[in-house]
Amino acid sequence: MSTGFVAGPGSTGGEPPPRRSQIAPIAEAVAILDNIPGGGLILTTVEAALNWGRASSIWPLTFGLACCAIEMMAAYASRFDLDRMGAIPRATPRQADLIIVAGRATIKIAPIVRRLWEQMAEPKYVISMGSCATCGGPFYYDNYSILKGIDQVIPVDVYVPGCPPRPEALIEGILKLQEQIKREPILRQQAAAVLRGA
Amino acid sequence: MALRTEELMLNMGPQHPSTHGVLRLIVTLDGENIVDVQPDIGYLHSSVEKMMEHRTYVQNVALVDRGMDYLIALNNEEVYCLAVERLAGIQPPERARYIRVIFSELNRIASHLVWLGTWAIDLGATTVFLWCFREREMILDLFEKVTGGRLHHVYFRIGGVYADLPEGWVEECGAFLDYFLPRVDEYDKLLTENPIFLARTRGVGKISRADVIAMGASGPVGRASGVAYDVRKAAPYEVYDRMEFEVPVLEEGDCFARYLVRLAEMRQAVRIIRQALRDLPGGEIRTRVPMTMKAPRGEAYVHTESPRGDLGIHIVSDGAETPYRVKIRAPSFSNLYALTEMMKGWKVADVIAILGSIDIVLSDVDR
Amino acid sequence: MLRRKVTVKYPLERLDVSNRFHGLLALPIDPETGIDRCIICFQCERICPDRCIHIEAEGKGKERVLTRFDIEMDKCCYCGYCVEVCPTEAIVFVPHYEASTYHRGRLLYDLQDLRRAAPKEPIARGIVGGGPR
Ligand code: SF4
Ligand code: SF4
Ligand code: SF4
Repeated sequence: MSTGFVAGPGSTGGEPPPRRSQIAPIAEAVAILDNIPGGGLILTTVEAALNWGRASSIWPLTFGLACCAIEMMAAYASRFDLDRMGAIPRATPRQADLIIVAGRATIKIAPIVRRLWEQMAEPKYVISMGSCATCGGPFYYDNYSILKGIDQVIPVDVYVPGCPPRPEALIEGILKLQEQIKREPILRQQAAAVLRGA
Repeated sequence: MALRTEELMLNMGPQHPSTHGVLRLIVTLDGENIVDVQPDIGYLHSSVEKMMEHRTYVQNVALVDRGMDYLIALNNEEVYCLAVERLAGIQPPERARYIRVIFSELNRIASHLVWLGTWAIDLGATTVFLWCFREREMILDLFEKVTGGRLHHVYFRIGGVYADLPEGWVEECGAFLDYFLPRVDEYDKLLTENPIFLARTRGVGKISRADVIAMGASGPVGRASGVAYDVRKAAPYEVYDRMEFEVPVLEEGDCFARYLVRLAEMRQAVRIIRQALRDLPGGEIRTRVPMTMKAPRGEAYVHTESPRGDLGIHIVSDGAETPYRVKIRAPSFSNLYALTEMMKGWKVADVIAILGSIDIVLSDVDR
Repeated sequence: MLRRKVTVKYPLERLDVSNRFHGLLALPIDPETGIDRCIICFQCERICPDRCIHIEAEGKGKERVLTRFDIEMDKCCYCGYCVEVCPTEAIVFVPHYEASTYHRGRLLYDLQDLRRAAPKEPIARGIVGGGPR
């Protein structure tokens, strides 16, 4: 088992190269649209429609680390029913858009969290749930085994404070993430990625 | 000559939906049969024993909630407070001791509900998961009204409890118990007669009485194999010696027996809470203990019956504000020990059924 | 089967959290004096198991004023010891829990944030009933 933060065999690298054959026409279309008058507006509308769809179907990975995972389970269960937000838990990172880091991560689990994140398909998001995932929380001082914040290994989009956060607080975090997704210029980002690669 | 196949090593976890946390099982398979299982632990090691040496006795109550088994925060607080009280010779008032019993038994129910829900969902029964969490939320509401927390409470204090029960809570709790007892029968109806459930659990993952004792497994795992040992009866703490309850013991030692024992324990917990609510005396809830308390030089070991088994804590004091050394005897750790013995010879599909049935919590295993 | 609805449609409906709920921390403003009730005794800073309260003050005697009162909300474990030890109930829990952010730095609540977080009325004190301090 590799212990460094190296992508193991089978996992994609940090930023997978876009498949040119598929994305290149989109990139060209984006470039053309952006340069004709009124084209930007069309592009933004298309993006808004796409983003609405993406934001309403965030599929999180079922990955619990510690106590916060119990509150995450409670959020999936009957009372709070996270499925209402279009969040259907997936057991494999390949199908997931979102990883909720629920609980404290040890130094031993950190490379595994990193690998799970790398195995997820772009675009991917991270929610850090609870004090421990955010910065080590109660385990910050006098401790040799807990990672001081999951953002040392993967980039976090939304931080949810609490120990543990109420399920409502987690849902609020997911709503925050939806807002962020809705604002993203997804097509332009993809086009820029293609142009960078070209 | 019999046909032989190569042995196959299969890695389960650390990220696996049914390991209930971050546990890695290295399963050696011969075809579909399990030859050996090696649990790889330490993915949630939070070094809580070391951290407690750097926190004062009072502050540590907040730490045992989280660092030990997180599903049973109140039972952790109870065993820790009992140990410090024995060390420092503090006697909590009567009312506080009853309140502690009520809360640790409520937490036992909540913990068993999480276990039943997640185990059932592993075996394919989603309804049970939703129902169990529905009832669990009601318990959490009861907790929240008194302690202010849902999962982590920091409610028990050395020498008592933090705050008194609010107006009307006792009646509310009684009403919940009346509601809850028929629900246990409902789970019973959903699972106990279910042929799929029976096929997956009855006779599966057997462990003998001798093996259970040899491995040090305790709690429901031990009692399902015929070890009639319950710390609440064997060495009563708090006010358990005044309570009437039975310790369910079965002889089969399979997954189904462990399930039945836990169901019966939920019913017994209801019975204990009812008695405690009935006998709840008035008066003080806390003896005066300074926030900067120092324990005299010495050591104390206290063990209690947590929902997972015999939970013990050993505190050594050198007379300072912080403990000199703390050792936690975690029931999940010993129960995990018995896993290898249970799994040998079963099929790979039984791994999750057997693993779920011993009800481990990884933060208890790793501490 | 279901006699009552279980699911709470969260952003539209809300649960009533109990008045002891350990939500975020706040320094409420005393309506009589117009400032918070903190007497700068450093007890909360000392008891905090996560060492996430940082207090600094200037001046002497009656003149003493808070210059810094930071709580690292991302490190806090919402245990309530600070609320318990505070002799003047200057620091309280508010039954408010929605504080997720895009930046971790925003979870460092300084004096202004803590005063703003306090509800005008009523204040959930967290503690009800006896118990020595
Ligand atoms: S933030 Fe609190 S509840 Fe969440 S994992 Fe850490 S200690 Fe547990
Ligand atoms: S609630 Fe506990 S951890 Fe948070 S600031 Fe107060 S004493 Fe510190
Ligand atoms: S304990 Fe209360 S009065 Fe003392 S410093 Fe803290 S907030 Fe201020």
